[in-house]
Amino acid sequence: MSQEHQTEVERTMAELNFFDAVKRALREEMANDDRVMCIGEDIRSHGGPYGTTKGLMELYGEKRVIDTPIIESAFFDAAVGLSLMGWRPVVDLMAADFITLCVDQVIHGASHYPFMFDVQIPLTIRGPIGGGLRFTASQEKSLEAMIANFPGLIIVYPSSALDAYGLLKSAIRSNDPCIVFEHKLLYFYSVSDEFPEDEFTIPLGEAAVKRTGTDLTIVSWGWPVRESVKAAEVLSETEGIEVEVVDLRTLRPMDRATILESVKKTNRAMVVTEAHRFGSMGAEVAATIQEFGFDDLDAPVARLGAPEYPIPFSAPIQDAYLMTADKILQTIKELLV
Amino acid sequence: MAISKETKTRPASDGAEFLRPSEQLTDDQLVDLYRDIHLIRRFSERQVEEFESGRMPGGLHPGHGHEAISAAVPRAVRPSDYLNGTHRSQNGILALRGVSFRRLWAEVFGRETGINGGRRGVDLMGTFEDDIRVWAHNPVLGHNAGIATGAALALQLDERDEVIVCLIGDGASVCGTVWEACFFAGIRKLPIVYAVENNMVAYTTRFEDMSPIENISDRASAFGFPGQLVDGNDALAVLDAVHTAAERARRGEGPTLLELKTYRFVGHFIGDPQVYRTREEVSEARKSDPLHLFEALLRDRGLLDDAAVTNIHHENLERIDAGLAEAMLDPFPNPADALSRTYRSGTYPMGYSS
Ligand SMILES: Cc1ncc(C[n+]2csc(CCOP(=O)(O)OP(=O)(O)O)c2C)c(N)n1
Repeated sequence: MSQEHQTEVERTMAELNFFDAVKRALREEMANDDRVMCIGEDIRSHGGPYGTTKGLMELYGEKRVIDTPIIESAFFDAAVGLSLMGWRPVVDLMAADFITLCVDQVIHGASHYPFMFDVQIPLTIRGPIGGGLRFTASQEKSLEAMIANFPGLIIVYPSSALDAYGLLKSAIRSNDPCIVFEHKLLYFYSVSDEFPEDEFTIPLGEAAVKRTGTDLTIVSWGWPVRESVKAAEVLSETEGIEVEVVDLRTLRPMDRATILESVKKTNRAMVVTEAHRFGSMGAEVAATIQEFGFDDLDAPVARLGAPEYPIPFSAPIQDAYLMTADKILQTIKELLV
Repeated sequence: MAISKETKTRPASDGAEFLRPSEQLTDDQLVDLYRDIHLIRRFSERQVEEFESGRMPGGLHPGHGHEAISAAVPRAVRPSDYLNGTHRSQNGILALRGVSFRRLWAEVFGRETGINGGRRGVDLMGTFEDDIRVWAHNPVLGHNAGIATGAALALQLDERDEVIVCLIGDGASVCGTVWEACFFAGIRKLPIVYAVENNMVAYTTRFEDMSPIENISDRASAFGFPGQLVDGNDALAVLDAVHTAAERARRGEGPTLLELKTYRFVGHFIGDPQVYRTREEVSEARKSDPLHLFEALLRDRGLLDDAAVTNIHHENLERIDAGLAEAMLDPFPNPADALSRTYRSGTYPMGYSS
């Protein structure tokens, strides 16, 4: 799938798709800092599951692109050790779901060590996340909430090629452990953006308003941001409802100010996620709005998320499970029309 | 499977040349080694006393019985080499690497001046300070090995001359992460020594109930590097084995799995009823107390007599207690500062939901 999108970064600086954006960010950061390295399974010749690390070894050498056996637990530990020795590892997970195999290292190592031992753990984890490709529950789930609960971690979840590029660069440069979730559909649909020639970064912890509106605020991240914008366009045309879409981009630390500012204007909020609602990041956003923006609200914060079963395989049930513009549209109509 | 009386140190399974730096130790160095073994025992005993008095917070896993290991390992390698102890050996190793008793006690009592600023607590403390290089023990068993393997990878990538010695409990040695780390280290011939402090029990589980084979060192064949069985109560044997393995690693020949057979004389925790073993077994094992064995050896060689022993014991206790007295005057961390270490980049909104 990824192969056909392997346009060389150099070919066009004007428009880059998600794959090229990630690839460009990795190449530039490896060029900028010779302590940046990649470690993971099948990342050398194969370039990892989506080909993003392909060619890095040829450019930056064997030392900085390390293939491991299938040892998520140990290679993630090793990344913590490498960080403590002054490297800046970018850890490649084949699927974000496999973070369950190294959640100990993420929590007890990466998130705790700076606090306990007064050290920095400048590592970045990249994990392809989310559904839509019929890989089913062990490789398509949305598990950001599980990780988001722990202070010390930074969690990035872009919804566009530009954001993926700018945020990945910031994550690699950050001295805090960062987890970057890359939604697989962004790869699959080759989502692209206009890119400036010059390098740039996007600060961690800053949300972006992806569409302005006055009637309702959607807070979302990842692929559902795109579905939300799509739904908002339709609502604008058909119902004259103007929805503002806030893309969190970084889940932790969360940009509370941007969310609250938007709600102040629209007086209504809805959280749209691909993840389950129970115990979720969406719950955190809703609680935040209610706690700090209660006076601005005309109605309870609505929440859209996945049904309470693991993400299934078969097309009709998987499609019914996923967050779509249609679902968002229907819900907003029920709320507002 | 009580500790076998026949546990004698064997050559490594690849039969490579076995170095014996112990033979070159001067009389003074031998006495110093005794001093350190006692120092570590006494420090641990003092912790138990403080704990039982109710003054000491948290939990405690005394390392009585492991002192030959804690004292010999730092001596077996260069001061610039990295060490990573277990909850039994780490305290002693830190003291021998020059961390003052004040800083150690301050951590034990949760003070800001503690080695981890009171954020970590006793027997899991450690430090990534570059002039000490005794890496913190990871309380989630097994992950030590993974993190130390990452350090070894960094040493290899940076073409450095140092090695890391990673100590592991026998219970921890069956964790999957340890196996994963060993495979990776074996493939890449990383400069690491895995040394299992086999005290024949993990919490309440006896060794035979967690290992289908008698010697952990035999597992090394699966990783493609040598394994070696070592009498972990014999400080000189530990010294030689760790030294040989560390030098092998330094030459780029890869890891070694050492099994240092020893015994935990006290419960897993203070107040452990120890139903998993008999009093007879413990008193039998105490006949191989590393402190007494080494004292007897030095008395035999005419290096120690009653007066010298009394003197050493007295000096050690003074050192330990002087540090304790200082630490008890040290301040506690201020809750208002607690957040400051959470994020390094420091520019993020740190409020309630950030
Ligand atoms: C992954 C994990 N499981 C369980 C524990 C609880 N625990 C703490 S010490 C211990 C026994 C460890 O045995 P061993 O590794 O042999 O070391 P020993 O205490 O005997 O020195 C256990 C089970 C833990 N810390 N980590």
